[in-house]
Amino acid sequence: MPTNPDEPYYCSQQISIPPELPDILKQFTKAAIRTQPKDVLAWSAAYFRAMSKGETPPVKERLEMPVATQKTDTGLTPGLLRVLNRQLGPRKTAPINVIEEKWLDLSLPKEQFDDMVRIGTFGGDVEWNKFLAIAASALGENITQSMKTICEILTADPEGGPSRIPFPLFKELYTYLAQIDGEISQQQINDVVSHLQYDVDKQEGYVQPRNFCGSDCPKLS
Amino acid sequence: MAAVLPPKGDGGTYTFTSQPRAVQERKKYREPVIQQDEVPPQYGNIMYDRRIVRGNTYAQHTLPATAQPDPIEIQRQQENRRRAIARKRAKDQLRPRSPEAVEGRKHIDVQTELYLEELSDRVEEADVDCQTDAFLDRPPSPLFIPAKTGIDVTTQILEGELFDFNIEVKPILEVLIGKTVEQSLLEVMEEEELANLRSQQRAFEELRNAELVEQQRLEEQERRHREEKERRMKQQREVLKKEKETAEKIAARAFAQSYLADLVPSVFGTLADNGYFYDPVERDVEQGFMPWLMEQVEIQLEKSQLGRLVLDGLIREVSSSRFELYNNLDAKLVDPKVASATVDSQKVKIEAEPSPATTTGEAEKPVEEVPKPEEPVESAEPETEQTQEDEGGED
Repeated sequence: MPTNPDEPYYCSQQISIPPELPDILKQFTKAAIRTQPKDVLAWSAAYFRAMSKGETPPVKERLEMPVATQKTDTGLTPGLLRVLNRQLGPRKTAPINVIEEKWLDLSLPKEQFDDMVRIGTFGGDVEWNKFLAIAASALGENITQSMKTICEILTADPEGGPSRIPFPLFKELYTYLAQIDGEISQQQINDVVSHLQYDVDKQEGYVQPRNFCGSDCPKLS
Repeated sequence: MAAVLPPKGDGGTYTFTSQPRAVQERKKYREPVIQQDEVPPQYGNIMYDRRIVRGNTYAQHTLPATAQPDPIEIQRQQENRRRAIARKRAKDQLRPRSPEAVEGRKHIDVQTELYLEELSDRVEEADVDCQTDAFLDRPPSPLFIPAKTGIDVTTQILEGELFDFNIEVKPILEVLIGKTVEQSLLEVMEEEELANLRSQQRAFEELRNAELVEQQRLEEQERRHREEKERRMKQQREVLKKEKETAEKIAARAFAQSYLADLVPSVFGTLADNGYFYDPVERDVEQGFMPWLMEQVEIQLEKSQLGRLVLDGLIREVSSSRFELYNNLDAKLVDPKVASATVDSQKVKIEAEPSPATTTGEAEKPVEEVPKPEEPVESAEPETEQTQEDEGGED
């Protein structure tokens, strides 16, 4: 619309476009293409809300084809988990409604969220790592897969490289998942930990999927 | 004068049109008479030829060229001079002059000024200026307004009729949105491709690292095996060596033992033969007791001998005194009383003397032991026999 409504426009050249607009549009479009949200409008609202507040927007780093049509039909993918991690990871604990809000922004099914809350018996403030662990276990078929996913999500290494996470973190999450699972004995946990300790010492305190996915490590589950 | 040398025909590298020749000396004075016959040309030393310049020539005062060109030069100069004069004259004639003086008059140069003034080349200058009145600006030409022709018509433009935002904005929007979408799509694809590449690269590197680690592990294992094997073999070799050494040592020892088995008995035998092994008692007896015994025996013998000697002496003494006595007795037969008293006293004396001799002889007996009791006994017995005899004799 004309800047001052009194003066009429005579030609199309007088229409002024805000200079930041093209850039914003481009970023938004790219984010949308990358994220492929099921509900574009809701996701866009979340996106702009996050941008306006200065938070991390719910954008996937890499293009990942949506998997809503697969057998599991839950819609949760490692990419989406990564998005959530990027948004909520920096704060160690978050109130459960915040997590729920972010969850729904990505048009993930609410039932799955409720399931996970139930499994982890999460209350008001939830430790993000624990939630992530449960979500990862929902993704993977066995605990090894879940731990691998967790490594890939929590690592600082670039994608495709050795996804390393600090060993204490790994130990904590693995113990937690094993306890939730209930079928894994403490002895087995200790075996795994002691076997991995040897590799960890050589790798400056980091553990990577290669260490526990290999054949010479005792099975995690 | 010019004697041209014939050109060398035997293949000289250089040919001259005129061969170089030595300069002939020129006589100072003319010959009064021309020589009839050709005197062999005299070649002088060029160093003493006045025609030849020697030494540096840059400070030479070169004489002018020979007189021959000079007249030409002079002539030319004269020509020039004449021409210049002619030119000047011509110019003078051309110059406009003031008319000649009328008859009876003469042109004279006269000074008109009071004072002499130097006429120099400097031209007298004077600045002269003038000013006009200030002009007014030229007034602008009046606008040309042509005469009005035609009919007047009016129309009213309302807002929104010239310009409809929605219509106008469409192309802009199209471009904006279309380009945005297109560009972002392109960029996303590019980024995606790059990210894929990178992640593949890294995955590959990971794989390679894993393989490398595995390889290194295997290598380590291999190396350790090999070292272990080496060590074992070395150990085994050591053991064998030790065994061999031990066997050799045993053999050597056995041999030495057998060789030396004989040694000890022979040594002992030799030593025994040489009397190094002795019965200490026997030795003691031999070494200590026997000499002592001998000494004692000697002492005893000496003692007995001494006793015998003493006895002999005594006997002799007694015998001699007795003899004397008896002799005296004989002499004193006359006086028998005196003689018997003295004889009794002398008998007592004599009896007393041999008894110590017998007692000594008896004392000797028990002292002397079995080994050699015969001699002292024998010696003692004859003594006693002798004394008894003596006593018997006395009686």
